[in-house]
Amino acid sequence: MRWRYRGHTGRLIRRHRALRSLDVQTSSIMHPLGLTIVALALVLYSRNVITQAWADIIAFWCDSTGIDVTVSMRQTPVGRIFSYSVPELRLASPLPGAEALALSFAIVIAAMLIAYLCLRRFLPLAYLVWAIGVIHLCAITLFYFSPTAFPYTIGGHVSGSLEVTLMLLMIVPLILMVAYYPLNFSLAKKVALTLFILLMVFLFAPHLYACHIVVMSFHSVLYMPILFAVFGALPIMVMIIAIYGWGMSWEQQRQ
Amino acid sequence: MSVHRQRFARGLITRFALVLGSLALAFYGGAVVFAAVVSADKAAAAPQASLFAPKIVLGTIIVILALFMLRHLIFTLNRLFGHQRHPYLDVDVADWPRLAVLIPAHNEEAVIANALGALVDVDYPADRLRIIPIDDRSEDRTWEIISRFQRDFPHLIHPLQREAGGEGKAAVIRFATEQVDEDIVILFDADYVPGRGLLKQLAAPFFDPEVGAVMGRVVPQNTGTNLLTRLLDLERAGGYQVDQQARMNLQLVPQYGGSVGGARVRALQQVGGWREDALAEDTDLTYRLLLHGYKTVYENRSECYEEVPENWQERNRQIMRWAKGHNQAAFRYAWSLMRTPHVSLIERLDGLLLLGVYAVAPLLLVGWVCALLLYFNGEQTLASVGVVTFLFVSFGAMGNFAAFFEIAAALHLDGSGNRVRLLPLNFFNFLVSLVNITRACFGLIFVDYLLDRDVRWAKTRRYRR
Amino acid sequence: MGENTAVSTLMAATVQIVLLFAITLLMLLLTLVPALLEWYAKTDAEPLRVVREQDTSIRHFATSFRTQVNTFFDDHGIELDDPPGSFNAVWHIDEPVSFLGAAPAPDFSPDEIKARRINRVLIGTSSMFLPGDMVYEEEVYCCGDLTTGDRTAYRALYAEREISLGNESVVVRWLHAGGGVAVGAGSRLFGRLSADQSVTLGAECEFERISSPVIRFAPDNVSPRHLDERVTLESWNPEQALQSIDCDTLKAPAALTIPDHVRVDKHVIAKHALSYGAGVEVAGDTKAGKSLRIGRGAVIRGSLVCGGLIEIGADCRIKGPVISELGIRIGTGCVIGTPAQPTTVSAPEIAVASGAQVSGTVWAGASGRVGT
Repeated sequence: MRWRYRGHTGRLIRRHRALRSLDVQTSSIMHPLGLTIVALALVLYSRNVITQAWADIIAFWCDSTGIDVTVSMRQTPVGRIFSYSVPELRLASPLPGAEALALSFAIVIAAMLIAYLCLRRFLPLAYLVWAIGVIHLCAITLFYFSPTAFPYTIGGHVSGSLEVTLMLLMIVPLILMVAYYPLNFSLAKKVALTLFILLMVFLFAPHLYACHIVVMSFHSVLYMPILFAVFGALPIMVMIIAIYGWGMSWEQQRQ
Repeated sequence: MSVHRQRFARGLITRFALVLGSLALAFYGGAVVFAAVVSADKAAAAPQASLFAPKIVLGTIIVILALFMLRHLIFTLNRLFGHQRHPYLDVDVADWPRLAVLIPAHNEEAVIANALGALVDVDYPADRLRIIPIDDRSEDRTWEIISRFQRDFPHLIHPLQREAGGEGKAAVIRFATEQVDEDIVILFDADYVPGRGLLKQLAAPFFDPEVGAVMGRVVPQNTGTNLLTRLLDLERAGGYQVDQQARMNLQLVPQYGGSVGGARVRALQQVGGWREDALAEDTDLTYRLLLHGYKTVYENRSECYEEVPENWQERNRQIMRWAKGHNQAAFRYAWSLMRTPHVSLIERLDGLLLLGVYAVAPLLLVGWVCALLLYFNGEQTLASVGVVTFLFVSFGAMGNFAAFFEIAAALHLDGSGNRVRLLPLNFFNFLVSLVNITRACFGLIFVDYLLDRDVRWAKTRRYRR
Repeated sequence: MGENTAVSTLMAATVQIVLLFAITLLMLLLTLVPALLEWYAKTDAEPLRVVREQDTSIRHFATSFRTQVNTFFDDHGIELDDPPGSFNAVWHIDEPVSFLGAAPAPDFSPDEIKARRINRVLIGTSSMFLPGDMVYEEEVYCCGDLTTGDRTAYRALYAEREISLGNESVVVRWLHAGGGVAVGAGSRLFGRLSADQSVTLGAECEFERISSPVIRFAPDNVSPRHLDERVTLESWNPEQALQSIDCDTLKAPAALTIPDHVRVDKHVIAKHALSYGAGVEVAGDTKAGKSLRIGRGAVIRGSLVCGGLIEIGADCRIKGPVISELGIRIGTGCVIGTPAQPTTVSAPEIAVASGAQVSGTVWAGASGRVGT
């Protein structure tokens, strides 16, 4: 084979990229199936350990930052045989006062104006600022006209967000099953990437939501909507995609 | 392993993708139902207005997105592992058809010389080739440059000069096509520099009498200018290397792209020629040919450089033009596509999904609004499902709605190195496309149609000096 | 003192808050480092390489090698009638070169004969004979006629005139002759085979890509026979309703069979199987979705394209190209293309019966085989 595919200058002749595809090998099927099952099983088996660790991390940071919170674990059944525990937090959820609303309104308007005037050169950032501004203006409007209608507490927000993060941890192996495991990377790289993504999400999520707690405890729940919409699942997804992109740039096994 | 066994093995992968994707779709549907039930329970326990309409809309949008994700999953796995179709690539000796190469040019003095210089040097029988640059009311030295080439290569270069007529590329091409009597017209933009073997590669599919149009792969040349050009390079890679080629493999509907491509003159005449009122004459032609029984072929091997926009304003103009044109074609041909006898069921389905790609952006924004409404109404679970779903798609390409893994697979096949690491930054490109496609859609419906305004063509700026 | 305690508590809390945000941000930025580094450093920002001058011609490697031979002659000041000699000159692949001069047969060392392997580029300036039962691991260049023994493997061969390969030869990369090529029975030709005059393949040869004005397949037993004077054929009137996608093209939504001895003046497309009867004459191009069968003695003045198998009966005359996505079987006595109008026959698998002839290119993507 080497004799056949070596050019006269000594280099191996590769197929043109337009004609390239991957050979169907045993690993193309076994790796996706096997790794997905193992990774899913790992997450499912250790789900309560994961959520307990999240509770401990959040409790640590709340304690360190002087926030008065009670953290317990709540069992959530799914059907009859499966259940998972989620941290349940009890802490004060301060509502915004008139001054806070006015200040927030002014800051948002200023930010959107600056985005329009100064950031047109980098349009995506301007759009992001405007999107955040629109969501925050909706929140300001709601709190201005009907503050008691806001249905969430800080504890409920964090519990719900951690539930979603747990679901994301289960989705990660499914994503990699179709997007990474079938490709020409070594088994070690596939395992490493999976573990790295799961570990980073596991560590990042409780710290992220601890930040949410700090912001809302020291200000008010006025910020909860943008924290939910923009600073919740989005940074976690950015992290997953970033690590995946890095993993895709690793050296492949030659076919 | 024999060809048959290889195909069987590769077919297994595609079927596996289909089963897997269906399971994913079912999972998502189940998640939506589960969330709806949970939120309905909560609404029943804590009586307050339950927003039924946003739930239905959100659920529907999630299902549509999941359908597109499934489609792109199948495309990706097929492109990676499936049987790759390049049936016409090996034709290197033949009684070649007569070719007319059209190059519309409006103020192209910076680039036209390179294009013409490359075309006079191509490997194609000279007696079967006419190169026709069309000067469309240029105000610079374009015509002077074209005339110089005509003097040097009188047997090859047959320029046209257009003094009057409608605006837009479609009008120019129509004007030129009416004056050719060759079998095939091949179109190049003035900034394209074709390789020596490109014309034969583009002409070969026309030995198949069912082929009405052919399209090659455009490769961005000004990739390294800034972040935008690099992100557009990712987008193009996903769109051509995976999306178009997979549609070719699966015998779906590869799209004619308007440049680095060509059409059979007989087929053009049959379907009414180029439409001057079509903002996306390429999409328009693809579907008219399809409805008349012709196929469009994609040639992944036929590569040619192009320039991508280098600033966001140019990019906005480009994507809005594409969105308007594409949706215009959707309005015109979706119903006919559902009824035509010339296509298979799977072509019909894929054709409809393809027509709908630029309608997804406003749907996505509506979905975001519904998710936020539900959130403010206390239904965080359902809102979260929506948000996570939307985030999954927001690292892909908006134009053909390619998922992020499709872009990554394309770069993998291209043998690209570190550029795939830019994938998380593609969120910005997606965000800009999302907003501007939505603007274009609303502009098309509420301004152009209701006010009966002519759609206008904005020429993409040239950067080469 | 109470105030001091409160202040220090506040400061400690502030430090912890800053630490929390810093750690959170650092975790996110850590994962974004590869993306940000690539954005800044642009290590992979070049456009994909589109080679304008890419030569996909079958003779590309042969021409390239010939250029290297010329360079070799110039670099070493060799004239064509110089005596033979060995050089430890650096060929591109860092192998020694043997300049054989006008020697009709190479002078191999005892080690080489014992190992039956020659790992030197051989350059001869006259006709040459290469003994059989050997493996020639590097290219061979011959200024005249090249004749080889049986059961021998070659990397690549170039002759300015004729090449005659022995039986059961194997050529791994390419073979080119300025004149004609005759390939012995049972040979396996991987890669490219090109000749400026003609190629004749023996029985049970295997091939991939061949290009020549005339390619004859196992002509020893059978040769294409001259077709009898064509009788005037009736124009074909289809029994079933067909779609007309334009004035020159008919399309059948299902399978289509065209009876014997009729003339078809249009292009024909069949969504499923298409069968032409014996003696049919088709003026246009043909496309079948599933399978295409051409009856004996048919004359096709256009192309044949099929998503499935193409079976061409004996004694057909086809202008071409002939393109299949599955396989092509060419019957005995068929003539595809002419030296004046060469064409291409292309499919993953091609089986050619003895006595067939093609002018142009025969390209089997996976396997090509000559019958007995």
